[in-house]
Amino acid sequence: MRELDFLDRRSRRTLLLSGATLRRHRDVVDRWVEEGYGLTLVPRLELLGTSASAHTWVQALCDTVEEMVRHQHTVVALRAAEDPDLDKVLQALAQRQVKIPVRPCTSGKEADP
Amino acid sequence: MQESDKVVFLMHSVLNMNVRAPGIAVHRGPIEDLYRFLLDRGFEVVQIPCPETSFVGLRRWWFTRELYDSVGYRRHCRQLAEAVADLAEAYHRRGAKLYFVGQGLSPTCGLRMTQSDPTWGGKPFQVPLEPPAVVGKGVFVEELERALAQRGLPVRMTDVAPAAIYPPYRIPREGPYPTSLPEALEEVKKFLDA
Repeated sequence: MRELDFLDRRSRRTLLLSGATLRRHRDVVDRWVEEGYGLTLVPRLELLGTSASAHTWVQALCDTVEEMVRHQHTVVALRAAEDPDLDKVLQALAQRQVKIPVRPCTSGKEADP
Repeated sequence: MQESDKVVFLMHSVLNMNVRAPGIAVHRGPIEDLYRFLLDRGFEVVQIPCPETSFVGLRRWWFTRELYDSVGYRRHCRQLAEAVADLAEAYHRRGAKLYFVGQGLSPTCGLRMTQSDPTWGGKPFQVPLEPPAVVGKGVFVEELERALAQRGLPVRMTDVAPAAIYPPYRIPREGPYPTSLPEALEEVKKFLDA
């Protein structure tokens, strides 16, 4: 049996963003969801400070994104003007040399899929 | 922005089916109906990274609980569960009401049922489309419950019924779950509204 024999509707497209951006810019995120993008959310890492748990969250998110990129999924980051949680993950991805496009989350068209 | 007093911790694929094993995804990205419901109701959403994806990868077989129940995978799940529980504790201190939504039937994230068959292992062989469903919990859920209990955190827990996340051939015919997509979504919404 091959994969194609089964129901598999995965879009292989993911939008990486912070939970804060989702709450503040839901209208923008809705448009990405309508285009079939799945969401990968960065939580409020500031609640964990510089603890080992904060590091675990960042590395787990990076593992997920890196695995997607390795499998040729499209991963796009949506970054709000002040986005410290997302920035932590983007910095960790850069250290791994995992490159993904970063789109500014503004009220203009540049934030759309 | 005002903080929400309701925080829901979701397993990754509820908002992103792209982390699922090949051949069992019925949505392109999120379960859209549930995504809209959570935001409409004002939940703050915390999405837990998929333990299976970060340990085994995206090109993985369908697994049973026994295949995941190894020392290394438990350590992986425990480390993530501790990090999730620390974040839950931070929200609890701020007065938030906490919820957890797992994935029914998952060998990692199932709460009411999981998949179990001790004969899986060794030389690969063709397995039936019907899942080897049993009453029980996934490996990550067990570790998360332990981490939450150690901190004394009150978290209301459920899992999304398989009818909302699996193709029809993977939905168990017997057990605690509703067997249609509308019923499955209604069940989790009622849980979160209660």
